[in-house]
Amino acid sequence: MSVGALFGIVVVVFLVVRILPGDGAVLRAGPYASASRIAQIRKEFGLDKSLLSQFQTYMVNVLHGNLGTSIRTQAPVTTELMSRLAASLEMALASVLLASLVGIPMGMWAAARRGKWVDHIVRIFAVIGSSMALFWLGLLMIYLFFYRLGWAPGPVGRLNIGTNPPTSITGLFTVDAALQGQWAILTDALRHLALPVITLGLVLSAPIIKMVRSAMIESLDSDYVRTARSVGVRGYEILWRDGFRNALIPVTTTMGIVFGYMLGGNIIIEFLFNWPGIGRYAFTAAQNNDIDALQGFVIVVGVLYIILNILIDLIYVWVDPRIRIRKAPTS
Amino acid sequence: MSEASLSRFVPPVFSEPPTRKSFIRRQPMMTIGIATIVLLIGFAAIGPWFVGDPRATFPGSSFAPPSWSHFFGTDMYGRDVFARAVNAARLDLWLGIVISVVATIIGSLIGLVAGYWGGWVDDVVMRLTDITLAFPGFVLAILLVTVLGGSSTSVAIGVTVSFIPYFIRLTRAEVLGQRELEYVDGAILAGNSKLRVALRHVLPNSLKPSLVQATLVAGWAITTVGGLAFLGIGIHPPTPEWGVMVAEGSNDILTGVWWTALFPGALIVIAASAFQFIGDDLGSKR
Amino acid sequence: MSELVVEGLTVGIRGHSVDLLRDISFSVASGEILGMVGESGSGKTMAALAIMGLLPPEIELRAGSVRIDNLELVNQATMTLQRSAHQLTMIFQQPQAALNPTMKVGNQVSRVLQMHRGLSRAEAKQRAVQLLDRVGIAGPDRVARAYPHQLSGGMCQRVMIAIALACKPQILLADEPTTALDVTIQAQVFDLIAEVAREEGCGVILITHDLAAVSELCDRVAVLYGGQLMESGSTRKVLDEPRHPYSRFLLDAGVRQVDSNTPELGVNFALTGCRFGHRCSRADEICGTFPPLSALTADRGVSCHHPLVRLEEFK
Repeated sequence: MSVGALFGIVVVVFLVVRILPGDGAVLRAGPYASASRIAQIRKEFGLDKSLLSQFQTYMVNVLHGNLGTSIRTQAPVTTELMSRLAASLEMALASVLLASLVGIPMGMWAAARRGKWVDHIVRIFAVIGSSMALFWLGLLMIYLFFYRLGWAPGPVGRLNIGTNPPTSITGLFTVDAALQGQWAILTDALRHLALPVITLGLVLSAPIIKMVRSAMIESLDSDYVRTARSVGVRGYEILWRDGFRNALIPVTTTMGIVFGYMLGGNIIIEFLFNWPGIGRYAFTAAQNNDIDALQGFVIVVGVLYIILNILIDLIYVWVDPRIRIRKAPTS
Repeated sequence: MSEASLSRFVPPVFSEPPTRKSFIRRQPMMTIGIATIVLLIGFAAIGPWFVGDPRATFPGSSFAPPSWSHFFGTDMYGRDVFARAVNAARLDLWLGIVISVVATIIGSLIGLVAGYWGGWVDDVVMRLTDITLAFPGFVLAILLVTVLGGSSTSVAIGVTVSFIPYFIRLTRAEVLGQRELEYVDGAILAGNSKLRVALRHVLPNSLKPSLVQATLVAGWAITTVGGLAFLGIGIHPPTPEWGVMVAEGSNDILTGVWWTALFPGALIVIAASAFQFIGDDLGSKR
Repeated sequence: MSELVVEGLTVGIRGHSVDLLRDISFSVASGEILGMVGESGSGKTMAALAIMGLLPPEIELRAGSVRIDNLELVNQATMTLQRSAHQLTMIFQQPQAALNPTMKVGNQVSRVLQMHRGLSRAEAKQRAVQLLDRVGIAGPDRVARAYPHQLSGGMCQRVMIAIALACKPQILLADEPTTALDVTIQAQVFDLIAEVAREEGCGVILITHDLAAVSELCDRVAVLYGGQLMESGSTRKVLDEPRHPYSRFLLDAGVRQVDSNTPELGVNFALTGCRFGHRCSRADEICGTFPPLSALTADRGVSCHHPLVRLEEFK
């Protein structure tokens, strides 16, 4: 499936860029280019050849990991994206972690107190969260915590201007700094992560709350929870071991969707906080009609998405014994 | 939930109506949502005649804080933020509703075709849908709008396309279930053509999940349009549009001018939540 | 010698005036099996859940007393029921759904042992395997490590019985324990329940449609219809000489001799009188009032204004 999907993504991206109105050569040349310059670019990029042969060249390049050259920086898109991936992943992982830490308990709380005021407040929070305009919330965060209160650093990226990044192990600054005991860098990295991660985390907690709540309600209404109650199992044991453990299966799906959404949503947050990740790279590409760069970004995101889905499938195996073990031990 | 668990115990003949409660008491979230949307649409429809020109600049009175003469203050060019926000409501609500309606119609019809006729049509459609769903919707919209060029039409098309796959999936799944029910065979045996059965019988019975989704999508469309505009993709200044206004205001916020970005952004969230409140309420009832 | 006594149990939906269970009284002594019969929707399961304090949130306990050895379980001020699993426990209709799908069945037994008997983890595991063996599961060590989806319905019901036994209950409620099982397994499960009740000395309330099983296993029978207790008494007496027209109707339905004069109508919960009234050929104006449960003998009660004195009269 995954190889097929990847192929599909490449085809779709290729077609979107080539078939839709909008001449690739004109886009690449920029608004003020002369006709001869456009013709030159058309030849240079092989845009005068047939669609099929263009696709052939493109496919071969993609398979070799060559996503083209950025017209803005003249550097290979693949290298540029790879050097920015860790920054995006650090923010994405931290945000999803925060969103889960907020969303799972709130969803469970609402489910356990169904119909009570806690439930109503959590539901309203979730609805507003899922209609939140990320860019606006981020701006308000910057205004409040940086400009007004001065608690957080300004939107200048992953570290203060004077701070040197830690020696790279994973590429995640916080992890690398912690591993090497560089506490000053760790603090700086965490302070810079705080605002973007809180912004994203709050918004992403909304779908998690919704899913956890409904999965928990279903699970708490189930026959097996009734059994557990009838034999005297109580309180936290029911909530976690019977309720949550079984709700985890649908919740895993949602986490996947949330993480996937992340890969698109981070464009806004990376732009807003000057975060040097792939999202901001894509933004700059879109601004400059840097088609190869944007195309490359979409393909990288597609690949990440596929990897994510494989991971989710693996998590299912761990979460759901019905997938893990099919064979009956006894007849 | 409660109705489902109750039906395990109470025989269907049990017919005493529940204690009467008004619609507002029974569905407060839906009421808030509908009221807000009606109010916003009212503002968008008649508001522009009562406020000043949203594009008129007054260099002398730039960055005036909110007051009785300028409810939302003025921006860098001295333009009235309230006048701009009211005019923007037209474009944003219009886009939200149109995107949602068009995506629902196209998505449901494609889903109907795929689910009802099956075979290779279904294979192709679902393969394409899966591929499209492999992109985060926002990324797909950015790609489409960038290639289509900057205008509110291309934004509408780009965002609509990015939402269509969800409706295809929902409708197809529902149609697959409906197709097996006996009323479909019954209608065909009664002499209806396959097409007629599909459109008149199967489709209406398969629409409910899509309609719930449509209200949610109307909300998401508004934030997506705003997000694109904020990034400078699609709709550009000086068009009065909430996302554009937030983008313009984002430069001011670090100088302490909060009103240029706060109000239009708040309107995006209010409008989007209003649709989502309705969808959330519809979705949680069976 | 413990005894469960239920008196005047009345249950309804919150916000509705109508009662789903009306004034139900019965008792079970330890070592005794009480069969509870009646058609679907008659309130058998509801009665069991009410006694267990497991009513869904939309349904409220309105009146009644539930006592074990003269210990009142119903808090009369809040109308809530507090019971321990040691006093009362229950097994359910859908054994596979009633077990936690993400937990090994051995652990589902042993956690109850840990909770109620203060056993250590290791001891409880060992005891759980013994209990699985006790309920007739072959290869109990292997089964203890299995998940519910790997076991058949009958096996799951045996596991459920083991879980219930782990509580050492005074009274065991079995809600249609065989309905979801293969016909060939049903008798085995019934026998196991009877055997367990005898050996552990606990009282059993057996809710079932299976009149043959009732006649074979149960010491006494209670007949329910529309949330009303129609008749109760020793199995032989009730089955051989029913006094309530509904009991007669139910027994005849079992042997396909349904009185064609009895209309096929649903339960009408709005009836203030006898809930069988609108289907009963003997009904008259008095039946518009609720018939009290009248004791015929010490052990026999019938709730009818026009009880059948002799069989012939009904036919």
